[in-house]
Amino acid sequence: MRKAMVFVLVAAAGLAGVAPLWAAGHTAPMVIPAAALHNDGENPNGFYFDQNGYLEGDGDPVKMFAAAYLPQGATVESLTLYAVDGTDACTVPSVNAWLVRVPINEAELSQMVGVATDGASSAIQEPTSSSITDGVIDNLFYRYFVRVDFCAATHKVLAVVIDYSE
Amino acid sequence: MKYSMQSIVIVVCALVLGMVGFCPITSASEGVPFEGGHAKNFGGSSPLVIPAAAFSTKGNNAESHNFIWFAGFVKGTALAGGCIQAPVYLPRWAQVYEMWVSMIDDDGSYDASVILTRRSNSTLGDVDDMALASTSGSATAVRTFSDITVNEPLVMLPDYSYYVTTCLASENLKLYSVRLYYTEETIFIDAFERGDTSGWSAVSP
Repeated sequence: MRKAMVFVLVAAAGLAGVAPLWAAGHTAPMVIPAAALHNDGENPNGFYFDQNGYLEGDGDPVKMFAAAYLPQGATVESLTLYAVDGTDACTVPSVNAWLVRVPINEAELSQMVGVATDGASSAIQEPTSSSITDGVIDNLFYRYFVRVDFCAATHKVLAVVIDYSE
Repeated sequence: MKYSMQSIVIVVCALVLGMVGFCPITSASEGVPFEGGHAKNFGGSSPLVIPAAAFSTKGNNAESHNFIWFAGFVKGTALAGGCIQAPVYLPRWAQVYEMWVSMIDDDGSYDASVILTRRSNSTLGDVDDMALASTSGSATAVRTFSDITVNEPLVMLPDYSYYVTTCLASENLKLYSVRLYYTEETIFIDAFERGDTSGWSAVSP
């Protein structure tokens, strides 16, 4: 019996030595590229994924979404949007991004954090916010995703970055 | 002495089983990963498998591809174009060393290429193709295609975004999955292994 226990313990040690627990396959920050964002179905041709890896609008407002697969128990520290806001002359004048959560079995969405570009410019803007509501990830009871709104062809969405700590 | 020898044998056997039997280092159908993966075994959760379900439309021709949900692949349609993309979520500082693609190319006129790309989040036009796997010929079976020479393999977050793209120009081109093999290495606070000493204090203790 004792030998069996020793055998199991040592085997477990060998297993732990080969497969380190820290090799979790994910790290902060989570970079959600434009390629992850898909349309809500209302305007499926109202955007364009440019060969340079960003999304742009076509003149009408468009809402795009992506799942946010964050680790259980992590604390969201900030949300940053990387985007070009080339014009204010559109129904949605800025590029906006939100991180939201919704209870698993309900439809009542709550905004955790939101950011938006400010003013028209051909340069990449990086609006960021660390004002997080309910920032501890609870995957047992909530589902998480990001939403990005934009409008014009000169609105370019590059990425949404969620920084978190574990 | 007899019991000591038995104990040693038990310990050695258990370690071997624990290391080899219970935890096979590689499971890649593609074969043996490069030697660094064996030696360091910081594979993390490599490979990253990107299923066809992760791909979405490029936007200007949303009906030019079709996800066959009961079989899990995406194919082109008669509306040629079929350009689609999928996000790539890799761990920070991972090193990508291979890309493998499973596809059916049963089209005598068109081939397909799957491209792994990184794009700077702060500089427009700073785009690098990291890997490219192209189909060839024509066959009804699922075949694998690969690129084992990865450009800019170090995953730099949040500086870059990572994604894969392809265009399925006909109904006879079907994408099943993309698989990225990578290693992870221990990074210290001073980032010494990268030659970046900016993490060091400017003041001597």
